[in-house]
Amino acid sequence: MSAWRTNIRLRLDALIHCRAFDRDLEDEIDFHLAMREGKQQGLGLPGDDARYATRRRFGNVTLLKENTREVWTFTFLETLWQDVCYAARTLRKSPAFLAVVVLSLALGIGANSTIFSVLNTVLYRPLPFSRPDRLMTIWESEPARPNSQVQPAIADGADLRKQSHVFEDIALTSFTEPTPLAGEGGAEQARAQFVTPHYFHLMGASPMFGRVFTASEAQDLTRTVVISSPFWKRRFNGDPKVLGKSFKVSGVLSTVVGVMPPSFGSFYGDPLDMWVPIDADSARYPERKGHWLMAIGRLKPGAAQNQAQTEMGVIAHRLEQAWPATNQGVGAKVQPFHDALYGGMGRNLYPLMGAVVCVLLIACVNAANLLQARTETRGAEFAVRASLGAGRRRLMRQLLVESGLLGLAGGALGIALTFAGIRLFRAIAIDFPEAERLNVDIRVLLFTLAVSFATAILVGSAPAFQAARADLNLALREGGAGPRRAPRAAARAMSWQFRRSHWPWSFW
Amino acid sequence: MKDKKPNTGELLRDTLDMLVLKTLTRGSMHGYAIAEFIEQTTDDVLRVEEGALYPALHRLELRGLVAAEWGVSENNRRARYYRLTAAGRKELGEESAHWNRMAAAVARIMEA
Repeated sequence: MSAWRTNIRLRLDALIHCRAFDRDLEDEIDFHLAMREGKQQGLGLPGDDARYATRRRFGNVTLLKENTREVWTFTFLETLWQDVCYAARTLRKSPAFLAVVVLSLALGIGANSTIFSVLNTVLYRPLPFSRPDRLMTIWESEPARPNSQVQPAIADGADLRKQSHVFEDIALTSFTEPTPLAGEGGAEQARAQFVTPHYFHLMGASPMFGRVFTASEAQDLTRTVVISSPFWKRRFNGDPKVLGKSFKVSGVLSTVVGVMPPSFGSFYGDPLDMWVPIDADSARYPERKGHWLMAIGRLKPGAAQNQAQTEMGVIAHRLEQAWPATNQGVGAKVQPFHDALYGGMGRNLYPLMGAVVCVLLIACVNAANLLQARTETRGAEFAVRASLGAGRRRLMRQLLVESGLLGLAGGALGIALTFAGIRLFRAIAIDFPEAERLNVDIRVLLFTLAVSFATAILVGSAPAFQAARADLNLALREGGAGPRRAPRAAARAMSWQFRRSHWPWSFW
Repeated sequence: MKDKKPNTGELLRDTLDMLVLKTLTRGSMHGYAIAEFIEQTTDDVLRVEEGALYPALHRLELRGLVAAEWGVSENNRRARYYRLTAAGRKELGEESAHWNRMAAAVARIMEA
């Protein structure tokens, strides 16, 4: 390992200080020549003869210097650069081929990157809450249906909270609910999330100004509300004196006590106006039948999901005995909050991803066929290069570099198409959660780069092997006709012909 | 990157490398002294071509087996001195073991 580092460092040194390096090399060789000459003179040869004898023995001094310098250069990189330049030149010479291949690859790659950016947004990005990995959702099963999943009854949720030791806290919350709003500024249908008072604390959120709910605030007739930043701007024009203003929420007079920052919103990024407190211990919910609030718990540090599962099971069993009328046969299930929100979406999105991967594979096969047909017509070129001393590996690399350029060009265009694809996706999937948060981030870019390289290898390897296999003698003798093929290659060429007849369709 | 051991001249190049490393166990030397030492020690049986010696020395330097620095020669000229590194010493041990095995094997055939 350190030998590698020394190697690279020395080479870079030589590259950067190339003049000094050349001078040093000259000095070193000159010193050797002088010493040898001195020795010859010591043996009795006169000056000129000594020099000639030395030179004769030494051979081609320039070649020696060149050979020594070559030891130091990045030969691989230099020849790779030659290949890239040559590939760019040859590709430019057939613009139609270039356009067709790059466009089809770009469509395939762009489709993949678009779907990946959706997956990235909903599945791979952490939730915008503090330590989201510790957040769990607690489900109940319905009596006699152990595999079902429903929100726990509100009174059950309150009991889980009181009896749990594994969770720091458990909050109950609704999703976004349309709620009638009246008062100063006119009546409207507001979007509210009903939460138990400690919800904000559980999610690790604090208000932009004002405060969140206190434990005693969840009362039924006069209420406090916390409003969202967009609602504050829309209804109150961002008035800093909004605290203390009141309006009627579902007919209940409610006072604004706090405004949340813009970063804190609903679970799926859909618009949300306010949070309304709910008292889970209220006398309204003792019958254990209202299953409309989701229970979210935050695991204590060091506690694991399976511990929580065990504990919730025990508590559910206790509730069965205490409330047999409603809870007989009701179990509890703990699931990571992220899965609860997005697990179902993954089941829809992965098949979609599979579909676009197939699209890309088809595009690759088409591009590979085009490239291969081109390779077959280039037999003479490869034969000439080989007879001038190009190794098989170099020829293969040439073709891989060409397909690499094609792949990268396709990837670059594919990124542009991804931006368009995301817009299209937003237009089609209007009510798709998180639509606003869809974008191209570094992960999407890296994904695209990786796909481009994979594409390049898929597209380029068959022609590369073909070029390596080519019989040079035959190719030269037959001029530009290209290498005559083994039966397998002929079959492939036939399939190419077949494809060409279906050309516009076979692309998709 | 490049092949470590190309097919052509493999024996020659590797043997030269080994001889250079072995020579440098006597202390740091410039290229001319290395060539002279090898020739004199073998009574001119082995002649070290300069065309091979300098690329070899620089290759060894790049592989970290020898280190080079400029010094002043016995006749007051600027000369590049080569010194064996720890990695070079280790490589020499391996190569000479390999060489001894090969030589013994060849000898057994020739005496059979």
